[in-house]
Amino acid sequence: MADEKKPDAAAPAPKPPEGAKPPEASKPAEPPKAPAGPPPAGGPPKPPADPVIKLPKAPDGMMTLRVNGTDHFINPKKYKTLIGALHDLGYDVPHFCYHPGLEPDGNCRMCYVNTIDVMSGKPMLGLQLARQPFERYPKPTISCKEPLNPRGMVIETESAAVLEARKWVMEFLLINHPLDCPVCDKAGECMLQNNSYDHGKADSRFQEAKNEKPPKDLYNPDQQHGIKLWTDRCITCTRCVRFLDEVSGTSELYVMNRGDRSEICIAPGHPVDNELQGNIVDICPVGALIDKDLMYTYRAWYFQRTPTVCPGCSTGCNIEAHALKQYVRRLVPRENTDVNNYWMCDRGRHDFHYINADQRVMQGRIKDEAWPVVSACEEAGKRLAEAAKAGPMGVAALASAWLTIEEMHVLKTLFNETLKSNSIGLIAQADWKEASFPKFKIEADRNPNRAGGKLIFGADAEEKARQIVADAHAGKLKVLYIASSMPHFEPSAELLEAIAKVPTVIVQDLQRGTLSQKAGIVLPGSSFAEKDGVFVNAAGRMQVLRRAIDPLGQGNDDLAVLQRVAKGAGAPEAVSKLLSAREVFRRMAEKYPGLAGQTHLTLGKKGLAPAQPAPAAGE
Amino acid sequence: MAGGHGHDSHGHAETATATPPIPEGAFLAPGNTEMTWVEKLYLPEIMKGLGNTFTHLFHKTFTVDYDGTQRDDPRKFHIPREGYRGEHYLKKDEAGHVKCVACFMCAAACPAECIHIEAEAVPADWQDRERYPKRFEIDLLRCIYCGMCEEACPVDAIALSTTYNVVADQREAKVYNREKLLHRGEELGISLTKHHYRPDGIPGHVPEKKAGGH
Repeated sequence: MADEKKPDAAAPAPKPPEGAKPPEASKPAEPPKAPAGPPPAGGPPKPPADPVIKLPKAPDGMMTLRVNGTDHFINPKKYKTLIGALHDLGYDVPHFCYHPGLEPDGNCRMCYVNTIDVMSGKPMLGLQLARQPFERYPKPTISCKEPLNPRGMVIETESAAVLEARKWVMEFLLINHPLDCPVCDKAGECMLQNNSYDHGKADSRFQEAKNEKPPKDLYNPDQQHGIKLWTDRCITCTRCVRFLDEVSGTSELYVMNRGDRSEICIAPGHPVDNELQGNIVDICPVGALIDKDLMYTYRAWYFQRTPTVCPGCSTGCNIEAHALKQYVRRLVPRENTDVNNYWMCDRGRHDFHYINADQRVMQGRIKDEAWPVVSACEEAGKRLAEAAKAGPMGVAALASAWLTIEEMHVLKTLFNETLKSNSIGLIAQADWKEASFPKFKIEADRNPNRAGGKLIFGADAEEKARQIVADAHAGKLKVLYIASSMPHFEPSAELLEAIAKVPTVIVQDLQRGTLSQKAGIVLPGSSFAEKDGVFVNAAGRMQVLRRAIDPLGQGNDDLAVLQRVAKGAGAPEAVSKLLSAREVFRRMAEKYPGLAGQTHLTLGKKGLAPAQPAPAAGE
Repeated sequence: MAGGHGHDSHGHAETATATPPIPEGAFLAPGNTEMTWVEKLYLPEIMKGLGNTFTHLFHKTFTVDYDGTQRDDPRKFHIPREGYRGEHYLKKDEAGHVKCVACFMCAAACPAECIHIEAEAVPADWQDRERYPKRFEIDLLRCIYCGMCEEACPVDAIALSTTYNVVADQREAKVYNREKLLHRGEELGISLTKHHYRPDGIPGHVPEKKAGGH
């Protein structure tokens, strides 16, 4: 701003067209002054004119972007179009059809900004084709389609002309919108509501009848999950159409008719039934697409939103858990361009109902007798310690790949140091069907923390588990501790047979099922929504889970149960003290070279990719 | 003190003529009163006071019994003015359904957070809307009777009556559920009225419209 030099033209230095004047001021003056602007300059070679606005030179590989008079140096290759750069710089450019995960379409016209011509210092001109001798007039640019000019750009996002243009766009978008916010499920998280508050007019000048269209079901009646479409709420931004074209590649939806009659449509007999369909509800900027699971029952502003990680598969999609009154109500994806971009699959999205299900283990049980969790844990610890005293190979543990690495660490320390046993194996769920989409993949490995288990227990943890099962089958074990906490876990027949031969089986599990029926001692486990901790996904990325609801096992999550067991076994305070997962992780970071210097805070909301491909196991 | 005042008034004769000089003995210092032996008996004063009491026994009474037996006499029974904010009620539409569409606006506006709603899709035969409250509870012990719920309601389904005198001997009885709130509206005879904004809250009392009022 300061280094800029202007010959004599206008008084306000950096941004001449900032005031309300530019349309009138530039219109008559422009046609004769055409050679100054870039569009006509193309024919004979001319001496290059001095630009009115001189931008400071950017470092190599960067460009100068002057927004509202402030200069920024950005990397033009990082952004597809201008709006991405503006959002990253913190400018609030309203938009509907633009989504960072989709190709820009430019149909909603909400993201108008002014592009200033560097040569003339005035807004870029558009052609007024309606008038016969073509006139040029200052025309705002839609920033979602505007490519970045590496030679530098001057942008205004808040000038009077831009604000006025946004108001007109909002008025147009609301013409056929039914304004039924009180009964619309999207209210509270609706972009149309937000942008209308910020950029719209309070009243409409539209007197005529609204164009009413009937709602449609996008699902087959036999589908368990589905989406309903309110065609009248739709602003035809085509985000859903583009998502199904680009990301899922299934292309079920298309736009039918033209103008204000245009509506999202579906081919009869071809419902939206792909495994990414839930995302079109999230990206719908209005309440046109509503998931029928929660339809009519919720208000978005009551949800307590906790950023966490989806435990559905080894990808570890970043999600938000939305809870209300200690019930998890829904899971929605969270942006992480390194892991899941902006999406998540429907398997993960709908697989949370076990959290608040009736079959949850809520208290301890020893031989068909209900015990308080604390005493049951200590009793289990005592039995472990007794069996460990009797013989070196008396105790073993099977840890599931659904535990966090903190819980695995506590279990490992308990067994290695207090019980002097090295037999800890890693059990996991069987793979499910892999699914691949043009821009998304559902992994076959459905265990969220198998990589973490290998990091803690060593790469041979799963062979060790097989060995433990074989030992149990041979009758060598006295006590077997199974820390499962896996939902929908169906143990294999050989594991069940082996369990039958062990005198004392301690199972820490989520649901009352086959495993806990066979066990002598049952301790409550906790789901991903009830605990803090770290999952390591298939790519070795450490991501932090955060507690969305209170633990259901009388306030004890998996970590607390393990620490109480350790206390019963007489472990030193370093293991048995009831420390938070954050503190356990801080202490772990001193032991494992892969975690050196890390805490939950440094991992942050987006996790940490491994510096080298596979962090070696500690010790 | 009196002397000082007199000296002042003498010094500024023109300005202080309005205030007359204070007579001697007008201010009695405390402890300066010696009661006579008649006064020390207190009997005359007691007789005076009792006389006042007994004359009021034969005056007309202005108080009202709280049992409500006298409510037919509008002079005796307190009828709140229009705009009084008493207990809530829910209205019904012409089909006899609850008017509420479970939009949660009242619960969102409520500063005491005493409104608890659970929404649900309507039964299949309700054609006019999509959602209704499966559960609607107002905890009147938490309620501060501010009337924001009534202001917030987009379909004019909840309103405050002028009923102020409903007591309960159980805390639970003051948590009104949906049926109770609907029943209150019927009891007041105003559940069907469409835009009856501030009705009288006397059970069975047909609210009269004041000419030119409100």
